[in-house]
Amino acid sequence: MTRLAFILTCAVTLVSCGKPAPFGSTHAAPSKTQRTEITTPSGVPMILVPGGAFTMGSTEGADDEAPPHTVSVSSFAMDTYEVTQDQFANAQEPNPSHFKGPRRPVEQIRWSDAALFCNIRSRMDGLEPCYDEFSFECHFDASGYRLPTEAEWEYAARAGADTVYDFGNDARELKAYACYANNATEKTDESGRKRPNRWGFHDLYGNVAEWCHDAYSATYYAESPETDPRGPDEGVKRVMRGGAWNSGADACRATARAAESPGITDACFARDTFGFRCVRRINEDEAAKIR
Amino acid sequence: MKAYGITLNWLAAIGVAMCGAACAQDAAEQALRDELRAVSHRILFERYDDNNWELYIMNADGSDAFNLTQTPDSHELYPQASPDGRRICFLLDVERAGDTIRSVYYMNADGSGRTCVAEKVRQPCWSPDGKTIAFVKQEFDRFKTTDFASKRLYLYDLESGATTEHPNAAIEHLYNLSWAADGRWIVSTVHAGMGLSHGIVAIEIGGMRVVNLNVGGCRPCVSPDGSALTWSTNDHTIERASIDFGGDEPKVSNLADVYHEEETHLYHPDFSPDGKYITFSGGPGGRMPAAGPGTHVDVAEMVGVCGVWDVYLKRADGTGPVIRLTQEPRKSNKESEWLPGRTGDSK
Repeated sequence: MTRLAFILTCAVTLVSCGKPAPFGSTHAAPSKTQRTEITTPSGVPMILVPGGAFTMGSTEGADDEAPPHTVSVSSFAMDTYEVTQDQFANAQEPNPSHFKGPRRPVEQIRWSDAALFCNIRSRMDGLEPCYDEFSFECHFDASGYRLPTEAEWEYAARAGADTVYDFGNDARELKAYACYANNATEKTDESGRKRPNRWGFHDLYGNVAEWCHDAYSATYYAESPETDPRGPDEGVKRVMRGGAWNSGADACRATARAAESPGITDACFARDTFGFRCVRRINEDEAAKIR
Repeated sequence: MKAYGITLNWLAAIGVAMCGAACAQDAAEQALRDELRAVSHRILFERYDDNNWELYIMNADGSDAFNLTQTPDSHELYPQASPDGRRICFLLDVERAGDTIRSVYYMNADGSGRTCVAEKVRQPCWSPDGKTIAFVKQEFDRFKTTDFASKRLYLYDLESGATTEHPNAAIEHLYNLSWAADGRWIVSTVHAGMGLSHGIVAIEIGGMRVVNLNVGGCRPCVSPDGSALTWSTNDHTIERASIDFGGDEPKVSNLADVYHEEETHLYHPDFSPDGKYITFSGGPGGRMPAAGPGTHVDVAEMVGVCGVWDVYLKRADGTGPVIRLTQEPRKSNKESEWLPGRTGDSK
């Protein structure tokens, strides 16, 4: 009887999640059916992501993706889409993008300007800004928006899977999920035109590479804390994730890491492959929704 | 002992060589300053001092700087001299209802006769005949220091006081306008506008054409005779080139560095009226704090951001030393602009 109950429990788990539990997880990862989407006061859709543990990194990518290590992240809310140009227009922010279109992602944006936009959006929604606008120190306890940590980004991109992409290992399927070198028309695509990942996020792979909060270190995974890692204390570059419209499939992998100068001191610095999306910590009401 | 003696000899030789190089540098700088003493043209610039932006004028060698505007209640910035040296247009910032209101004004070169051109606008420049001021509107109602936060192009006629809008409605995100001597083109930086990611373009005044000059960088200045262009290629380089406005479309050639310095950010180059010299601003890069009334948090090259910057000069052909012209350290001295000397002016 006990054996039968165990088998039935396993079967229910597989049916409800539709996927195996992620390798190394300490909790069950949220399933597609558990997804909770909210709309912010300024009209931006976000997905509430329950915290959990996952294996970050890979032994099969570049050297800086190793060693794979278990990381726990706290619950957070993350933009369903990359920050779009209509959000900049709503905020009366000059649009730095090369490829214009209200539903296209903002690009040609420096890390520092992405962080500043997080603060602008926080003020618009009555939240406490996270970033000091001179030092760019991030107050993670603040209620406002910020850039995702690299761990949060990879947790969302993996969406509970331990495969190369959340949908599997076959790069030929990427064209359904991503605007990237093999299918782009020499520019970005409108956000959300491609299939979302298993947790509902669009364009985590391709379209624009996304700034993360963390400073970059190639050896960080060997020394990273297990809970809510936020990157090394210092670093010349900041992490970018997900690849862009001109990237190959390899750069779009869930574990692929890249880094670029944040451009804090260079007003002219800009590339039309750099974009971002925002995250914030969740409040008590939201925590109850995903409990 | 022998080895010790050789070492001393070597040290002495190195010392003499170093002293020689330094002395030669000093002599070259002094020669350039002497040369500049004979120049009748003067230099306008903006200075932040005592919680206020004011426009200053100094001689070409940096001597005898004086406060032209002397308005503690408003902030004057970004001076632009008319080609005949009789007038100056500039930006004026005032605080109103918690926002910065930036306007374009012009006045006589002695500071008298202030006239407002328009509010919530920026980046003025003079037509070669001194009868028109071109400017752009700020992109949104709320003020931003961002240089490219602009839209459309407007032409203000001094005689009638009328403003006309350039017919090309696609014009956006221009900054640092410079009107070429033949009157047909305005050269400007564009960032994320008109299909371009970033670059320097020529805008046709009497038509709809926007020509990409295909030179990377920003903040261009056309020489008064219309034969040369200078601009910042990046944070650390002032460049110059030949520019030909004689054909159907302007063309740039013969690019060359005027000055490069890795440790300092270099911006705002401006040709002297005879095209022999280029002045520019330089100072530490990075975001600057709001240092007092009228200042904003942003990178120091933006108008209204206070950094510890100074005005420098170098020969336009790139030869000779670079010299610092502003003599009071720890103040923000930027946006230099040559004020042509007029017939009868004397030193």
